[in-house]
Amino acid sequence: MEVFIQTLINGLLLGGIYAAVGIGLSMIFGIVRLVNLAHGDLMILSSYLILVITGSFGLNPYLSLAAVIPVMFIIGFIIQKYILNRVLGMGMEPPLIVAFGLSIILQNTLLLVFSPDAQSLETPLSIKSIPITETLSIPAIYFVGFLVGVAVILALQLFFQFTYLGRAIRAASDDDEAAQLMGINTGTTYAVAMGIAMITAAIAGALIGTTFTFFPHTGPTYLIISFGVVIIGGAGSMIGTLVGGFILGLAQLVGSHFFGSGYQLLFGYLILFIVLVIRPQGIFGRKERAA
Amino acid sequence: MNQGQEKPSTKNGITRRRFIKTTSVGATSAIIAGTGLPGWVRRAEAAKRDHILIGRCNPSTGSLAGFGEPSPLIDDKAVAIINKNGGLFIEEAGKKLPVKVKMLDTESDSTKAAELAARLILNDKIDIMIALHTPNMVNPISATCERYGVPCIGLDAPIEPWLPGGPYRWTYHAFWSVAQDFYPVCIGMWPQIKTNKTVGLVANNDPDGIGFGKVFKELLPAQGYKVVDPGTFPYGTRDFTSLINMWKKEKVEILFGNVITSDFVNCWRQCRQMGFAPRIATVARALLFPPAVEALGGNLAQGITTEVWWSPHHPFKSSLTDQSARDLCDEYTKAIGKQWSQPIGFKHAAYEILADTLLRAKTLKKSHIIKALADTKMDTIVGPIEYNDKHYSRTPLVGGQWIKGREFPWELKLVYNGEHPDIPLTGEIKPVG
Amino acid sequence: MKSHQGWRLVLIAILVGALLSLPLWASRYVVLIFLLFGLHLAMAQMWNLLAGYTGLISLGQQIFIGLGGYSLAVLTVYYQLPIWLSILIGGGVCVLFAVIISFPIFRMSGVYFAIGSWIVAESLMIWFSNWDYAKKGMGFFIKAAYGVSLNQIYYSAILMGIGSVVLVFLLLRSKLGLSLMAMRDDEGASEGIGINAYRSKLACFLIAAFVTGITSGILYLNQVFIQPYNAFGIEWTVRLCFIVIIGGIGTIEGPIIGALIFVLLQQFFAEYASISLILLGVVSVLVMLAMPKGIIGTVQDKLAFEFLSPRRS
Repeated sequence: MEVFIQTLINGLLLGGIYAAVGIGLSMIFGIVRLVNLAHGDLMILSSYLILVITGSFGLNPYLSLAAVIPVMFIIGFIIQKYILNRVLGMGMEPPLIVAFGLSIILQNTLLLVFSPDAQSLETPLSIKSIPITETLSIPAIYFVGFLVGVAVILALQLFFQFTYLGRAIRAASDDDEAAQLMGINTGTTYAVAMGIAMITAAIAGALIGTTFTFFPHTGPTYLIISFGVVIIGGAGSMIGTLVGGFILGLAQLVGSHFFGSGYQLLFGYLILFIVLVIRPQGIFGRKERAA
Repeated sequence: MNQGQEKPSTKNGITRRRFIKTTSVGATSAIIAGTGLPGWVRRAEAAKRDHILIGRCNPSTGSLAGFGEPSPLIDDKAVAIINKNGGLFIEEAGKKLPVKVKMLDTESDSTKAAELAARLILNDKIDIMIALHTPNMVNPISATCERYGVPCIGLDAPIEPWLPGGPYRWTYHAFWSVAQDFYPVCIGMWPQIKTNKTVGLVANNDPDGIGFGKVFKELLPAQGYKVVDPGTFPYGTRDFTSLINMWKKEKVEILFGNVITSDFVNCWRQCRQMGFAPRIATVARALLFPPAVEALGGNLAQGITTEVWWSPHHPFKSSLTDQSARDLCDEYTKAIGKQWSQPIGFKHAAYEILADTLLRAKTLKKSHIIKALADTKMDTIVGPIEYNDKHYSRTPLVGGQWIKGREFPWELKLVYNGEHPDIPLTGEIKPVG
Repeated sequence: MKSHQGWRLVLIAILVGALLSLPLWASRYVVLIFLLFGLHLAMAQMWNLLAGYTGLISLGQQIFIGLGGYSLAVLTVYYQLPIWLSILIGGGVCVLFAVIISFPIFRMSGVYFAIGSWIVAESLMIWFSNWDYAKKGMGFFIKAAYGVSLNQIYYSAILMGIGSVVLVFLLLRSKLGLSLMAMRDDEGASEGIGINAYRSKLACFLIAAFVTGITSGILYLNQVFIQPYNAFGIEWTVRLCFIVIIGGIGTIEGPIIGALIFVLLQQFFAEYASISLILLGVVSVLVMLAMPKGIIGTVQDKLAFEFLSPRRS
């Protein structure tokens, strides 16, 4: 029984990390109505950038993150403003294809620049754990990831509700024309939104990089997790993403508890698929306008 | 009929008719020109060349890059020695021909390996293929060689996962067998540390992982070991909670398996986190190379045991250069400043076998080459090679352990040599940690 | 009108004639290149049928690539069935599976459909890599292929390629094709005049599944070795997507040009594979930004000229 409780704890904590991974995709999907297929790869890019900085300056990964955040913001801003914005109105295929293309370019450039060997961001936290009882413990690194994930989501929730920029973004997303009439430059607003999404991706990159190993082709794995989180919880909803993360993490670990580790990923997919069929807008999502 | 009334629809100054005319003429002439082009387009029989062309698909990038890293350095050196006096004598040419190697990067991908192998055979028309580095590479390459009928020298992939592709006609393979070589090493090595004889399996879903797991599950119980199998898992599995729980519950004290490096790093760290500390951890493939060991971080690698198929301590000499294993490793370290790794010996041995075979065959006729290969009986830098009727030859295997080193951050000490006492021990086995 | 018709037929005849006679005058390597061309063309035509004409962006065609290949492997290795029969059955298996998943999948639209199809493919990958019957992650050696000649496989591949073009051509001029055009223009209105959108989409989905499955059988006959990570991998969709986009989505000639470019690029860069992929990615992004209709689409626009496709507009 206790082993099962441990599984539940780990699943929940993992969910927090997954939420942090998916929030960027959720934002862009909910706000710009764009599926950023390169989301996972951009996150891994952050992990690699953090790796470079820790390697060159000997800082610990969380400090290096501080330097990487502005870089990722700029990258996101540029990608949205000069590439993605241009394909926004063109229907469904072009944004998908462009994002797909970016994903492939990123993966293979990382492959060329860094070796394909697995990397990880070193931190002593990765092997520590916080014991609760004799047989239960909380893996420290999962716990940190969980806290950070929840913090990021709460921060975003506050941002969107109480700051001008946040409300401008929501306005642009709700009604592009009306927002423009109110003096909001929607193109730049979207770019800023993407920049913010990239900040979350950078943070997620730090979490993932310290918790698990990564290599250039890891991106799509996390993209699927982001999809899971976003679809289960509902695009554009902060709380939804958090809940989606929990459900996904639990589904994976509980599934592997009962059916074996080989099927771990499968259970996540199963839940995702079921949600797609019965309630594609997710638990907290709003019903899509006929796009 | 309406031609008189048709106005040429002009856009950008080109009429429809003219466009169609030009493209069709262009296409036709391209095709005709194609038949006029010599070489790679025209249908040609065996290439008439002034050198012997060897195909080499190497995992220079990807998850198996650790295996591929010492190439092309080692290959070039070996080839240089072969070519030192002009090369190998070939009857059809009436003189010695130098050896040239065409190396392509398979990116550690099986499908790509098969495609590149086909390309080397059909486009470059290689004479002989050399296939190395794990079943993921060797299997598709030898299958392609069997398909097109090209002699193939295989090395560096355990025998059991390779056999199902047979019976082989064109491929000759040399490495160790999981059941006959790795298994004795384990059951010889493990009793040296006191444990409760409960073994937990950790294995990927691929030929290596499944092959190892199957053999050990069959053979271990007879020796009084209890096997705990949580099931194989796919590449990229991140969370090992359920496996570790199972091992803890069954009180596993020996961890054994065959995993890729990145998955093992995740797993081992989580073991530490969850307080699972087996006394013995013998993992194949994951920790063969120093960078992989360093990726674990901290002191996590201390005491992990792995298979050792070649080391500077192996008492064999190269038939090409007369170097000992130690000499070859030193040469490698001096050349690029990196620590030695196990594939170096096998890459070198491939060219030894190649040279020996062609010296005896004296021809590039493929059917004669495989006859000569079948008759191989030689000593190489990885040990004696003599193929049996199933087309394989077993090379010696010993057990090694990773210990924090002095010259390099991590060093591999040989701690068990029961079946091959001629390979000296360099350390005493210790429990993990 | 007649003279245009004449020129078209002559050109097609020359090209087809060259392709069918290829093994007689070209090297084995060129035969291999066009073998790959034929296979990718067939699969790309199907992806195009779904994405360009039916409005179903599928990121999951690899489902059928995997199922087709594994059917061939399982049937020839375990039951010693003849190769061509196994390939045909593989196509049948794909159709069956397509019918089964059409129930959940067709309830999703647009981007959800795309993601859903991808999830099914990934799930199959995990399932097959855990399935003893499919030899788990070890994969199969399709030893039956050892005896098949390159030319045999070439002819089946190129016939699939040409056949897929003919199939799409005829399809678009059939009742189904006209329904697709109407649906594309205005789905609501088309339902009003009695077009069953669901049935039309399903029909295309099944056709695409069947053709892709058979093509995959031929592909793995050539490859000889099948593993789940590759057979069900997203890389296939990446390739098909790029082929169609660069060539021109929604046109029949688009996949032809795209497949040719792709196969040549792949061979040219075989030794520097990441570069070829980066190039593909960059070109696709540029194409989307500058010429979203791809090569053929832009040519069609600028020269007001149709070769094989009815105007997609």
